[in-house]
Amino acid sequence: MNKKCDIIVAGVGGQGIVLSSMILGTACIIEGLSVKGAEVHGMAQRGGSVEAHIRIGCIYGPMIPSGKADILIAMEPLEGARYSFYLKENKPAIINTFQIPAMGNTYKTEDMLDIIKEKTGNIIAGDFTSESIKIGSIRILNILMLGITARYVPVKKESMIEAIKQNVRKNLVDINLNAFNRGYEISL
Amino acid sequence: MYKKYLLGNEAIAYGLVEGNIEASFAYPGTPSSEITEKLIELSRIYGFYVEWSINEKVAYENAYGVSLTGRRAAVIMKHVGLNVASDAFITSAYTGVIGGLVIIIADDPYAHSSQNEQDSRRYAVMAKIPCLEPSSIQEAKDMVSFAFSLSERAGLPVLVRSVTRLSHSRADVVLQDIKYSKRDTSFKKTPERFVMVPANARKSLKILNEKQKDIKEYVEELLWNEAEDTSLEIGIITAGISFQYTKEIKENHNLPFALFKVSSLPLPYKKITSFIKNKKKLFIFEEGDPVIEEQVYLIAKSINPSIEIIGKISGEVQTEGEMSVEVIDMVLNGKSPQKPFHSLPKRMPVLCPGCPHSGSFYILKKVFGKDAIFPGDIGCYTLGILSGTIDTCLCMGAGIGTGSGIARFEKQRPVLSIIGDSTFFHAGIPELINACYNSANQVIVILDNRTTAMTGHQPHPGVGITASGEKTIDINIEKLASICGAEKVVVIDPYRIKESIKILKEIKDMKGVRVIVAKRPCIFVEKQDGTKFKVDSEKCKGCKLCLEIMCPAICLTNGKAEISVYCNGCGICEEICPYGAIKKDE
Ligand code: SF4
Ligand code: SF4
Repeated sequence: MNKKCDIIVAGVGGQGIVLSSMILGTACIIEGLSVKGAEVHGMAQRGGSVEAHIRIGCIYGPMIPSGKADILIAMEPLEGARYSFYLKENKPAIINTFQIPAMGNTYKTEDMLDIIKEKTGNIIAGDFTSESIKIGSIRILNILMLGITARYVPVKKESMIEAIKQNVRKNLVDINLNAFNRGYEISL
Repeated sequence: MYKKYLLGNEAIAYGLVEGNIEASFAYPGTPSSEITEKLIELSRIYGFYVEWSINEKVAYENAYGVSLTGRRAAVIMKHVGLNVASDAFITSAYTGVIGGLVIIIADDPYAHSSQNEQDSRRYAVMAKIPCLEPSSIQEAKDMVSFAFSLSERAGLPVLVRSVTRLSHSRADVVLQDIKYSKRDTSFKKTPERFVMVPANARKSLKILNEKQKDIKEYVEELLWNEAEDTSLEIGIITAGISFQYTKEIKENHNLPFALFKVSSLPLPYKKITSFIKNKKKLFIFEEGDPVIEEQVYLIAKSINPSIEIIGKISGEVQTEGEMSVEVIDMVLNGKSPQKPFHSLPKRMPVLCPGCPHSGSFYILKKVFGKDAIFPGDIGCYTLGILSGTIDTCLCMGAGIGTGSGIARFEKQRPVLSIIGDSTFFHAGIPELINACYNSANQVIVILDNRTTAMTGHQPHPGVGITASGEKTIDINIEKLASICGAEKVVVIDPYRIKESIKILKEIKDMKGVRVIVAKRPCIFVEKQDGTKFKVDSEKCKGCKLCLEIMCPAICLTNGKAEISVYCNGCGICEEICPYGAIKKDE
């Protein structure tokens, strides 16, 4: 398996994008792969549009050039559309269809998916927010979506589970693992 | 030795500990804050001192003081923090230092989270001190540790420049097993060196100028200043994170270019001279201003005047924003980057659902009217720009001074300076005293949310705990404002709309400096109890009054208000709705 994989995670500030990036990175360390990542802190985290880059097998800079990403994970459909220009043709886009209105504006989720379709036919879409709430909290959306992604990344599922254990608070490990496993099921 | 997936800022903290830091001082500021957060954690293991100081100048002077006792100290801030600390900073180069003094500055090209894109390397040049610039997170960690010994060798403070893309990136970093040790040294009186009266200052400048020769020698030895494929005729000089971008393009396209990575200022003149001697063409990529480029022009002038230099001065490389693989690729290969191909609704940062500032802004607008002028300041509340309650924002503390100036001539309109609690302690107190002393006619609104919210919720002198979580004094802002000379001080709770409006109407037409303290913890400080509100769509008349709060959890769908799962239960909208359509979701 090619161990190089550039991943964009997109969403809205506060959706736990930094944690997703840390978990993927930690999983790489567990497997001895080199890894780089870039993320957003500060003002944009207050509900702004947020992107994180994770570059598995990378020895250079942390930023994925446009049109070069192997996977897009979007925790919100508008943000998925916004960052779809990063994606290589026909690479997987994992899109949460539950929308967060942007500054009071709603929009058609379908339109967003159409934009993403211009880049790739390989879309795994669903209302993963409601799925997360079903498991117990809106906060675990990020981990549920990592579960869906597990099948596409060049690190083992077990390493990702170990990485989750290392990165979330002890009392939250179980609920996060449930979310991860639910995500993994969805992807099958 | 072991590997960890670390944020650039965390790696810098490890580097400081490897360098035997004994004390660290900082004021929070994106993108630098996580260095101190990590140091707080590491200090529990190694027992060194970490402090959130009230501003960067105080932080700098503290670190300088520690250095004078012979110990190693660091001072950490974002780029604009150095403006605040610059008074102490510049003259500290005159006196020099004893224990290693490392200044870590996180620049913010593209102003992701800042009011400007200033380049800190200019400060190092002005102060005539060495500046190191890491090109990767691993280097950042190794360099800050090395910076202590360079500082001691040169007898000068050393500035380490990071940028957002380094501080807020992550990488697999190799860490050393730390053998931490402390020193047993003490302050020695040497007034001719440390008391900068004019006679001593004149002598010190001469000494500082003489040190320059030594520094130039030291940077020649630095292995981080390195070159590859030097025999080729086309060369690239690059520094910092731009080096990674350049390297990626060079490897991916197999470009036949010589590459020089600059890691220090002053430049390694000898190495650069020999690098550019045989070159026909030279590209220069660096973050920020063309600082390296200007110096390369000077070197080229004497040894290779016909060389073609392509960079920010020649105009081929953009002079604003960040470098990136795309930007460099365009200059080297003429490839224009794939850009977003649809225009989509913007999503700017907004105040959180339930943010007390939203309540404050709503109340102020209701009482003082749309004609009021709101000179603002720096913090989450700068986002009030969207609701028309922030009209200016220059730098920390500027809202009060700017407001005094405006109020002196705008006599008919209310002037309300908006400042946060942490910012008030940082830079607002002298401004308030000045306003009172000089009889300004303005309202000063201190949004006291019990934390330094924007940078990640650090404590400050108003909350009664220190960086390490120990109990300390808590300064009462209302009392302080009275002592500073305010005509009238009132306290409101921004969640209680009607009550607050009543209180403020009473001070509206008074004269002089009136201080409003809007007290209510940030939603990250006081945990929510899970309460949510919902709209009864039968009762909702679609009047849009509740939208004026600008709470991101409320939006209008099919003409009716709707509250999303992101509601934090502050209840402000319930109090505002004239039809009783908003109720707790039970
Ligand atoms: S972090 Fe706190 S102060 Fe900042 S916007 Fe959110 S609630 Fe308001
Ligand atoms: S109670 Fe109303 S104003 Fe407060 S967070 Fe919820 S929706 Fe927003």
